[in-house]
Order: sequence, then C-alpha cells, then structure tokens
Amino acid sequence: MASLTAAAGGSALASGCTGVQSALNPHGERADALAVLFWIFTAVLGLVWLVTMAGLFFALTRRRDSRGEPAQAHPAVKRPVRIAFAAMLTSTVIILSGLAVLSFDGQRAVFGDGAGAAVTISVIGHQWWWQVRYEGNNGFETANEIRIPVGSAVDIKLTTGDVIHSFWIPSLAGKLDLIPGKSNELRIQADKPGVYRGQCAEFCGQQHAHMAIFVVALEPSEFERWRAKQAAPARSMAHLAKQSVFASAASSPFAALSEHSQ
Amino acid sequence: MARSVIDVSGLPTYAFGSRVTPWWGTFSFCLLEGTGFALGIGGYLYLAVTNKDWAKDAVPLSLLWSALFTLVLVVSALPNFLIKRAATRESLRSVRLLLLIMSAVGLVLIGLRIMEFSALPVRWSDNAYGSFVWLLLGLHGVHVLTDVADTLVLTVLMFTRHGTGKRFSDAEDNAFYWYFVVLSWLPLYAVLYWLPRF
Amino acid sequence: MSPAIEERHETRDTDLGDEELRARLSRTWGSARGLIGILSTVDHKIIGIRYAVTAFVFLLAGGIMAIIMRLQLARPDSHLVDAELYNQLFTMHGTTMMFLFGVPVGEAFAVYLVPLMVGTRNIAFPRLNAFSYYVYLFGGLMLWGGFALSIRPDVGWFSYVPLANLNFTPGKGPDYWAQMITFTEVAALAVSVEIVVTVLKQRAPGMTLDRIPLFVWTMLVHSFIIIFAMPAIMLASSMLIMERLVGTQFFNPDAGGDPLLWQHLFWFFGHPEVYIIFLPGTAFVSAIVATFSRRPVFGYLPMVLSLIAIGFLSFGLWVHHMFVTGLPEIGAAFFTASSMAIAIPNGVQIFCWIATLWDGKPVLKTPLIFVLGFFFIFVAGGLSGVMLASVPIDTQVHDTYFVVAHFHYVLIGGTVFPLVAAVYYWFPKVTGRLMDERLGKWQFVLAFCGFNITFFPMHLLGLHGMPRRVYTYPAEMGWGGLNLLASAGALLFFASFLLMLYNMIASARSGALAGDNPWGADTLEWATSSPPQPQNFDRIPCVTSGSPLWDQGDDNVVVGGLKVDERELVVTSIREARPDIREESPAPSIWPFLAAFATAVAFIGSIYTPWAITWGSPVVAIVLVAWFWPKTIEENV
Ligand code: HEM
Ligand SMILES: [Cu+2]
Ligand SMILES: [Cu+2]
Repeated sequence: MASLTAAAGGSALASGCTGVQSALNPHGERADALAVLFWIFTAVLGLVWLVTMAGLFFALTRRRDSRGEPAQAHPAVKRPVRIAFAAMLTSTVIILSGLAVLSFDGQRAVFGDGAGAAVTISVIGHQWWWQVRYEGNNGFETANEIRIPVGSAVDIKLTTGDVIHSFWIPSLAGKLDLIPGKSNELRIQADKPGVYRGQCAEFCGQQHAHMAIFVVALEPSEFERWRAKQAAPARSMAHLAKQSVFASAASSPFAALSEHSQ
Repeated sequence: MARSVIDVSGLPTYAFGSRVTPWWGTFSFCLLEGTGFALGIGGYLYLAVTNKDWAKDAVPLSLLWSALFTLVLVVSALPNFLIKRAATRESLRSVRLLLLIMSAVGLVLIGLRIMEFSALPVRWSDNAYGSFVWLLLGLHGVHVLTDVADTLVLTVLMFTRHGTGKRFSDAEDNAFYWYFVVLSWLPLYAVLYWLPRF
Repeated sequence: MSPAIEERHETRDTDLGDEELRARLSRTWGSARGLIGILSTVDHKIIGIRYAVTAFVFLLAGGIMAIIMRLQLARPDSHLVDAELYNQLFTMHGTTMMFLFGVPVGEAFAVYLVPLMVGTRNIAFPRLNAFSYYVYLFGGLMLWGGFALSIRPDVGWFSYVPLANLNFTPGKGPDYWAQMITFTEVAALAVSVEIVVTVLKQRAPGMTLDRIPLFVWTMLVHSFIIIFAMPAIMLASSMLIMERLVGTQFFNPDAGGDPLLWQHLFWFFGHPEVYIIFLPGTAFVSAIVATFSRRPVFGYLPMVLSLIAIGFLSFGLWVHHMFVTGLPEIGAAFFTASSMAIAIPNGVQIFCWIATLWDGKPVLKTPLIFVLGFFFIFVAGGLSGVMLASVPIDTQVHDTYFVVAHFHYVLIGGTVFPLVAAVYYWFPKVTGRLMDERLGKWQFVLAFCGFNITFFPMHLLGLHGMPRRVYTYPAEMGWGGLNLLASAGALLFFASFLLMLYNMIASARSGALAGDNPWGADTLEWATSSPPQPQNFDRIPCVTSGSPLWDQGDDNVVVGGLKVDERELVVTSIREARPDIREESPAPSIWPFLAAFATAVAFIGSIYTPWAITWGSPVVAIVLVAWFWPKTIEENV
C-alpha cells in the first residue's frame, strides 16, 4: 500500500499537476460518462465555431474596399445566401437535436436508478466543514473525509445544517446541492484506489474557499477493516469533531491512507 | 431641395383611448404590475404544491370583509364605466359627480381592506402561508390606495379651472386603470379565500 | 388673453424660414441653465448622456474591483485581501456590472437614440425619464456609499437564501443590496415603458412597422423583456428585505417556506436579464454592420422574428441555473431542450449579419472592428452556453470558473465589445467630433488580446476543478499558472478602457469635426445636426423607406403645422404611423428630482425602520401630486 500512497500523494502534491480535482481526470463510471460527453460537445461545438469564423473571414475578404462604395438601399438577395441560410438553419437544428439527445442519454449518469448501493453515507454540510455519517446500527461519524470501497456504488445522502452547499468530487461524479429542508442523493463509485479531492461548489459564506473534502477509495477488504475499527464502541466521537473543522485538510487523508497501508 | 409638406395643423391636441400615449403608458404599467401579481400567485401556489405541511398552515381566511370588499369593488365597475363614457363626451357635470362617487367608493374600499387586515387569522411572521397572505393583500392594497389617491386628486382638479380639455382624457385613463385594479383582484380573491377551502 | 399672446401661440413651423425656426424651436425645447435648470431638464439626450456617463463610471468601479480580485488570485495562498474583503469584492463587482452598468448602459443608448431614430422631439413621458435617472443614480450611490461606510453586501450577485438571511449575514449589507435592486429596477421599468410608448406612438409619419430600424425593434423587444422580467426581481428583493426586517417566512423551510422559491424568482428574472443586457449589444451590431457594409442588414423579417423569439424563449430557461439543486429528471430535460432552442434565433442573427458583410464591401473602421471582436468572442460564449444547457455537463462545470469564463464571454463579447463599437460610432453624433481611429485600433488590440488571455484560461481552470467565488486556493492544486496568466490579461484588458477614456476626452476637445452624417448611415439620427438641437429635428421628417437617408436623398417630405412656441409633437397610429394627434410634451420640472430624492430617503430609511415607508409615502405622494399638477391653463388644452 505504500506505493499507492506514494502514487496518490505524489501525483497530487509533488508534481503539481492538475489532476487531483479535475473533471477531465475521471476515475469513476459517472465521471467517465460526463467527460466523454464533454469532449463530444467540445468537438462538435468547436467545429461550429470554426465554420462560423471561416464564414466571417470569407465574408470580409471577398470584396474588401477601404473607401466604401455608395450605399445600396435595396440590394438583391442572392441565391447563394438563400441556400446558405437554409443550410445553416437545417444544420443548426440537426446539431442541436443531436446534442440534446446525447445529453438526455447522459442524464443516466446523473439520475441513476438508485438500486443496489453497497454503502449509504449521509453527508451534512456545515459552515465550513463536512459531517460524514455512516448509517446502520454500528454507525459512526467522520469529518471532511469519506472512505469508500473501490468498485462498488456508494450512495451519499446530502443535507445541510445551515446554508446551501454543493458536494462535488470532480473525478468521481458531478455536483449536487445540499439545500435546507431537502434531501438529495448522489451516487459515486471509484474505479481505482486513491484519494480524490473535492470542494464545496456553492458559495456558503466567509470560508467557502476552504471547504474541501476527500474521498479515500480503499480496497474492499481494507475498507471493511477500517469500518469495523471505526464502529468499535470504544472509539469516542469527541476527537472526530476536533479533527474536522480546520484540520489542514490537505494532509489528513494522505496520513490516514498510509496509516492503513502500514 | 424639393420639400413637400404634410399638414398636421388641423389635428386635435388630445383624444381618448388607445390613440393617446398615456393610455399606452397605463397599459404597460398594467402589464408589468399584472406580471407581479401573477408571480406572487405563482409563488404561493409553488409553496402550496411543494410543501407537505401547507394544508396545516393554510387556515382559511374569514369571508366576511373580503366578500364585502369584492362586492363593492365589482359594483364600482359600473360608475367607472360611466366615468369613461362621460369623460369621452366631455360632460363636466357628470364627470364631477361620478368622480365624487368613485372617491367615496375608494375610501370605503380602503376601510374594508383595513378591517380585513385586522381580522386576519395569521400574522406575516407565523409561517410562509401567512407571509404570502399579507404580501398579496398588501400588494393589491397598494394598488387600491394609489388609484384612490389619483382619483381624489383628479376630483379636486375637476372642480378647479383645470377641469377642461385634456383632463377628460386623464379621467378616462384613471378609469381604465381602475378596471385593472378590479380585474387583478378576482384571481387573488379566488386563490386567497377559496383555494384553502378545498 | 391678449391678442399678442394669442398670436405667439399660433405661430406654426410653416410660417418660418429655416434659420428662425431652428432658433425659436431650440428656445422652446431647450433646458434652463443653473442648478435648478440642470436638475429639471427633461431632454432625452441630456438624460441619455447622464445615464451613459454614470454607467461608464460604474463600469470602471466594477472593473477596479475585478482587478483587485485578479491580483489576489494571481498566486496561490495569497494574502493580498482576506476572505471577507474578497467576498465583498465579487459581490460588488457582479452587482455593479449587472445592475448598475449592464442594464443602465442599454437604457442610456435607448433613451438617447430611439427618439432620434423614430424621428420625434422627445421621449414619451420625459419627466418619468428624468425621474428614472435620478432613481438609478441614488440607487448606485446608496450601494457604493454603503460600501465606503463599510456596509458591504458579501453574498454574491444573486444573494441566495438562507445565506443572505439575517442569522447568517447580520449587518445591513444585503438590505442595501436589496434596496439598490428595487431602485435600479424601478428605473429600468420606467425607461422600458417610455421606449415602448415612444416606439409604438411617436414614430415619424410613414414609419410603418416594416420600416422601423432594427435597432429600434431590438430596443422594443428589450423593453418588453424588462416589463415581464423585472417584476420578479422586485418581488423577490422585497421578499428578501421583509424576511430580514420584519421576519416573514417565505424562504424558511421550517415554517412552510422554501429557499428554492428565491432561486426560482431570482432566475425567472435572472435569465431574461442576460438578454436584457445582451439585446442592446445586438442593436448596436445591426446598426453598425448595415452602415459599414453599405446596405441594410440581410433578412429584416427573420431578424425581427428572431428577436421576438428570443424574447419569448428567454422566459423558458431559468431553471438551467438550478440544474444541480436536485430537480426531477423530466424537468431537467425540458429545460435542456428549451435552452438549446434559443441558440436557433441567435444563430439566425449571426448568420444575417455575416451575410450582410459578405454581400457588401465592409469598411474596416473601429466600430466594425469591435463588431468583429464581438463575433469571435460571443459565438464562443454562446457555444459554451450550449454545453451548460446539458444537465450532465452542467453538473461538472456549474459554479466553477468554466461558468465564469462562459458568462464573461457572452457578457463582454455580447455587450461590451458592441458597446465600445457603439461609442466610436455614435460619439460624433453626440459630440460633433470623431474619435481617433488609430487609438481605436490600438484599443482593439489591447482589448481583444487582454480579454482572451484573461478569460480563456478560466475554462480550463473550471474543468480542473476550481470553483468560483473562492478567495484563494492551495498551491498544490496546480492552478497557479493559468491564474497568473488570467490576471496578466486582466491588466491589459483594463488598460484598453483607460485608452478609450483618454481617446474620448481628447477627441471631445480636438477630434475631427464630424458633420451630420460622417459614416454615411441610413437612419434618422444622422439626418439632424451633430450634436442635435434640443428639438432634435427642425421639421419632422416623413418616412417612405426602411433606410430613409439612403433612399430618400434630398427630396424630403416633412410635417408642417406644429406650434413653434409650445412643445408639440406628432402622435401617430401604431401600424401605419399616420399622424393622429399633436400632443403636448411635458416641460422641464424639478419635481421628478424631488420625487426621486424623497423615494430614496424613504427607502433608505426603511432599512432601519419599516415606519419610514409609512412616513415617507405621504411625502412622496405630495411630491407626485405637485409633479402632475398642471402649472398653466394651457397645459389643459
Ligand atoms: C475588467 C474586466 C473584468 C474582469 C477582469 C472580471 C473578472 C471577474 C472575476 C475575477 C470574477 C469573480 C470570480 C469569482 O470569484 O467567482 C467575476 C465575477 C463576475 N463578473 Fe466579471 N470581470 C470583468 C468584467 C465584467 C463585466 C463587464 C461584467 C458584466 C457585464 C461582469 C460580470 C460579472 C458577474 C455577474 C460576476 C459574478 C459575481 C458573483 O459571483 O456574484 N464582469 N468577474
Ligand atoms: Cu459550502
Ligand atoms: Cu461553499
């Protein structure tokens, strides 16, 4: 496991690459689907932009004249323009419809069927930390850190204790808000062991910028071991609350991860 | 330079209805205020639908004062109609008389609305239902108040030396706005007073 | 009445020669000197300029806030400003740009140009127009005065509840914010009503519906959008302030309310707001493209229909700002479809402009060059908007720097670039002098490079996980490089505005004289002198073409028979613009200023005690009566 720590921590901290919290660096089924959709849209729309700019360039260079010709109040509408207009309208409609269909299809990556989650976790947003509660009769809590087993679906129930926050782990899934009086549910799944960083995405007051959260994906056996240890009744809750609030969020999960890999 | 001229010297300096700019001004204000009412009702219905506890909060409002208010308001459409007609005919005597009647009606309506507020079973701070009841009644109340104030001023004007010419057009415009006050009340009345009873 | 007075009142324009007519009319329509005169004027041109200058000052103020933010974000873990101040800065920046710059600057051009373009002597309800300006001014002064006194809103330009509620944000900041909103919306609504009525009823004889310039059509649709959108935000901001001041429960889920109600109301306004800000930009583009291609914009009818379609569709999109609140799936799908649909009329517009350029021989003067910048940037922003319309994609990029990039591409590309073009284009009309072309081109280089260097990297930052509204970020996130680049670009971009400011001041003093129609344009504002006389036109033109100055030549038809010593203008029928009434246009008055002042005092007072409304209302009422009370017997006829 030491190598894992080195890999996760190394890529995140040492190399300074932008992958720790990136939608373009997906490590879960949902984030994968979203990234693919994103690239398709980018390609298609990028092409549309290029075609438009080419049209503009062509229009400008066709008959330039810096002196200006006498104005024409009623220029005849030329055939090519009509054809181009029809082509533009048709292709716009086709492209948009195609993208809309892809988008509807991609909605499955957002609105899952909700069946068969291996683990259900409640996350409660607070100014400016995340309270994480593992449900069940051996329930326990952590803060600013969620551990999940690799390869299984995990449902996260999102509620808030104060204002609106938004739960977002870009490498695993899109974001979802935590709204007073409402409970939202988000499914995440990690394909590989590792530490995935996330951050509150809805402005929630003064320290919004520091409201980070880490998802630590562990091999299932290791996850179970950790869970059993957490659930042990001897473990007091008090130190967890302390650990959370302004614990230097960056270091703790890596430490945690290595603690288990020893 | 060849110049031909369209002669407008014979045109009137005022007219009635949608020919004049104030009518369109009033019409635009009705549009935007109507949107405000519609959104207010929309917000009320949104909470009624999304909120599980709404039925518990939504105590029906007493029907007494509101019924009187609605009755007087609807009946006032008649003198209002007559004002419009008298104004178009520029009949100073009828306009004066009718404006006096409309001013009196307006004051009665304000009185009824005050009674209504004092008899409301919820306060604005009790729950969102209460907040909306106060908001919508207040919003409409402000419209009644403005138009009554306008009517009073116009009545005074009509009894001074200014009661000629374009003032008739103003009186007509004022009557037009009153229709809006009447019409906008009806959906509010249905939603606030009858919906919670079903 | 003595015969002499009788005589004077009866002088008609047909009785006088050109010189004398001009002098007499400009006396009749002119504004008085002195403080009272300045505050009493109802000339739409003067008020339009005031709107524009005020909006420009707010643009600079908002820009300075942005520069400070960019300096803070240039390096990771920076301590130039702290979290508290940063939150105030982005709130002030967004609020100022949207409410104190974006909307009013469109009003400024509408107020100045629409009456000229439709060939009338003043805007409809000119006193309301004066009132609206003062209300806007006081609203802006209130917000910034509060800022100076450390009463600073810090919950963003959309003030989500419950964060904006009293228990999470004590202090008066959000109250000032909410009242400022009410102020500026009152102003925008008033101007919209004036524009609608001016366009419908005061067009020069012969300007039938299909001869209305595209600029004017655009402003008409813009005004209608305001009329239907702004009531939502006035309602919402009033509810917010009541929630904070008298304890209503609209948004409290524990008492039957719902925080999402705020979001629905806000965005029901907020999405159309984007089009409210953007449409004036398209109005500028239409005018400029036509003039510099030397032909009318291709496809008048499709253009007008697209505008109307945009107007309608803009009300069906608001939920796309709420895709991550946990909507039902079907609702999300509906709003994806409607959001994509609006790309169609936008596409039609872009096509028609490019087709016009293609057909003509475009003259590359500064206004047109900025319009080309508009195409480059706005189309990119529109296309990234299509991405945001897709719910799945939005769940990744919502509330990140990708969105910050997107909306600056559409707002700056769609509004600010055309705005700069419009400044260069109409400056000679307003001042009589041309702006310097060479500086204009330099400004373009600075603005275009600066803009793209600032905002393009933000797309990438968002995709790499940088949320918006963060005052700093840890170095290990790896966002430092792109942020540094963006900040450098921001300085360039800001400098381009300083260059423009310099160019404006220098050119106003010593620019080349422009003459009536320096660009050889086709619409009526170029038919009068630069700057126009107080009466706009000595003789009201009659219109027989959609491009009157190109079609009609010198061989002009005019209206005769208006009184010379009274403020008379021609009211025409809606469709055919047939002359119908000689309506009296209100004279200058100090009461609109006093009414705005009284309203401002009552509103500011209401932040401290609700009784201010109770005591303020009668005062406002009295002032309003004074405003409308006829001063002379002549006003009755
Ligand atoms: C000098 C040019 C500008 C620069 C450098 C700039 C930069 C920024 C920055 C850094 C933010 C804050 C991002 C964050 O912390 O979330 C921001 C937000 C914003 N900007 Fe600009 N901006 C500029 C011009 C404009 C203009 C012209 C407009 C509108 C017409 C505009 C509208 C907004 C809005 C609405 C926000 C959102 C504020 C909020 O989150 O509440 N900006 N801008
Ligand atoms: Cu948060
Ligand atoms: Cu947050």
